[in-house]
Amino acid sequence: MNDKLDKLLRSARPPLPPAPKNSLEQIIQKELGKKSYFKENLKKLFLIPAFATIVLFLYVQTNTEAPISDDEISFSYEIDYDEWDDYNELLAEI
Amino acid sequence: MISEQEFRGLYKQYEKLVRATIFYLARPNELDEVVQETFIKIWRGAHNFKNRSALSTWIYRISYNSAIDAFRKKGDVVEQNIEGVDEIKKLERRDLIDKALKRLEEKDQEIIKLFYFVELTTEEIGQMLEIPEGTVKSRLHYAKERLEKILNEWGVLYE
Repeated sequence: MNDKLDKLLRSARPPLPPAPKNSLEQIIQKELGKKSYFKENLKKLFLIPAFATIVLFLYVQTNTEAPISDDEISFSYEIDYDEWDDYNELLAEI
Repeated sequence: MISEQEFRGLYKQYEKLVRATIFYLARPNELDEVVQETFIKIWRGAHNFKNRSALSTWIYRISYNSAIDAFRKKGDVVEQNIEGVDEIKKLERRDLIDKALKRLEEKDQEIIKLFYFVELTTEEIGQMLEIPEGTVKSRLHYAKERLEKILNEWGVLYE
């Protein structure tokens, strides 16, 4: 192969622009920055449902009728004797 | 993901290679950004490679892919026609080679740039392009023949 071509190609190599001095630090900052941003968001992901649950609980508490207490439930065991007499009379007739 | 310390080591070892591959193959306007994005990909994926040789092959490959992506994003470069010896003489040697390279097929350009500009060995180019070293040597030989032909037509090599 032509030596002249080899020489020409090597001499025609354009200079490589130098990397910015803080390039490595920028990459680290970008990548680790994203991670901490994700962590913050991860916290939000837990905080938002927790807050929503509390609000929902309070809403239910304030808008639901309280259950009926035992005192409010009353059964009448009193016998209506008049009715009982009528019943006895009926039995007697039979 | 590998640790920050390990990444710093990788960056020091491969910064020049990644930068040169992207610059010489693609000449992107945003070289620093493309290099940074490539290193972020390297950082995220490096933990998959316990074997150092597999890692270096992968880094060659990822640099090459970034360069190709950057080249495609940049769009086609308008090729200038060169007419007449006088015009050629006006051009800088570098511009002349650049224009001659653009006359070649992309594959030929790539192999010449990787060998002469990025200064990779034929073995390393083989790893980057995922082809045997013998194929690299033969491609390089034919690419140089074609380039030589163009330069001879322009009267550059034997002027």
